[in-house]
Amino acid sequence: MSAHVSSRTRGQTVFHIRLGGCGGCGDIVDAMLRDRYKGRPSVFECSSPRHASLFIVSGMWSEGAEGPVREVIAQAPEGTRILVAGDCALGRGLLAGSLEGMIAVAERIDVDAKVAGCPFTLAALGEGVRDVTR
Amino acid sequence: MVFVGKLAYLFLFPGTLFIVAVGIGARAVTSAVGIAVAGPERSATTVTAPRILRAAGTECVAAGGSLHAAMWVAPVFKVLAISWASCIILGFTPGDLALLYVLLLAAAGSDVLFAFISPNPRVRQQAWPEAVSLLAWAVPMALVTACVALRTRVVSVSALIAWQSANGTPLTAQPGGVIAGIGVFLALAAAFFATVAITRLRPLGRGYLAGPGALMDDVSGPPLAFFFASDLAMLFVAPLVVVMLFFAGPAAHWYQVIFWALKVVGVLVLLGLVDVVSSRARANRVAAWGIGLSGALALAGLILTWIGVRA
Repeated sequence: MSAHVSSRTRGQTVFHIRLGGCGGCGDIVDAMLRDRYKGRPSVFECSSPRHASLFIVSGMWSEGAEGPVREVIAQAPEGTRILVAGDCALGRGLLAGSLEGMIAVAERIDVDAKVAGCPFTLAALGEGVRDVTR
Repeated sequence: MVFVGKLAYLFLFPGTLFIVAVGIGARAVTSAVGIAVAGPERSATTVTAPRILRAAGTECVAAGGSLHAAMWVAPVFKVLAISWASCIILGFTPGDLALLYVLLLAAAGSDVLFAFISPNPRVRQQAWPEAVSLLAWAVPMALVTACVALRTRVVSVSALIAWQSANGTPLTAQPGGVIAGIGVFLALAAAFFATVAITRLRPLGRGYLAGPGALMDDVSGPPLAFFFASDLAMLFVAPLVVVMLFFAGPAAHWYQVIFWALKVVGVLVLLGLVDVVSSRARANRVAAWGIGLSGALALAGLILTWIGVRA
């Protein structure tokens, strides 16, 4: 895992959208945003989508979540990027075959990057954040 | 020409830039104290220069209604009020202690008004805590200002600085005796606690980004950058007021200016210590202590100073 911090990553503000599921992916995103470890991307969690330069979406997309998620993303300033993280958000994985109506986030909104895994690792998420903010 | 120059300093780029730039340094001092005591902290609520620049270059998402107008006007008004206060202290414009107090009260009050008019219910929840934090500064500082004026018998800022240059700090000056000195010391303690509230340090003040339901949740783009800049400017000017009231001295030579800067840094270090050791205190309980303790200290200081001056 590279310890190099991209200069463009530094100071990026992240708004985490948790769509639900087992919560494992969301916990790892929260760990990246709130915990301290070597090689952590230099990003800050923001409490308002209006301050976000990057959205990280984790969990399962559902019809009921579509409206609120679109409302949140619509409040972001121009140029905000979207990273989808986790197999559930990508429409695949352990729960894909058993839950009716489960679709990939990327099928409903335009995304800039994807991180796969069930769950993904901190390193993979960090690389994804660095790639999307480069 | 001199008046035009002073106006230019107040309203135009240099004056406000000065207090914001020094405010960045002030934030660095308080953060350094926190890092020295508690280790590095990845605080999402810290306002830094890169964050200001990033906010300034971001699109301003329309908030709608009166809030959209207020979020453009309020931070500019706040920065100008703080800049005017700094001009008074630094000798660019005349002013008395009452004007200084009103300017800082108006600057801090603009945040409270902003919270009350927000259509976001979570932001409006912060309105009364913001008002309480403002009272935690306003009530003690009014008493402190009266105490200093009573002790020194002057009301203008320039006269107060001249008085201290001639007689020394109000804590130890001859007029009034020991009782007045004790009163002024209590007033100093109250002023320090009050400064914690207005500078948005923990625990009395709430940071602009302390979420959820943070005061700045609906603000983005250049207005957000202005709010950040006003926060940093207040972090410099509020300790400057404390130094001006109690530890002012001559500033005719370069080393005397450095002494002023060191005094301000000293107050900032103490503020940083309070900030880091109080990080886990409940805001409502500390607000009660802040208003009660600093208000009581200021009142006791005023009474003792009055007794000492009358004797």
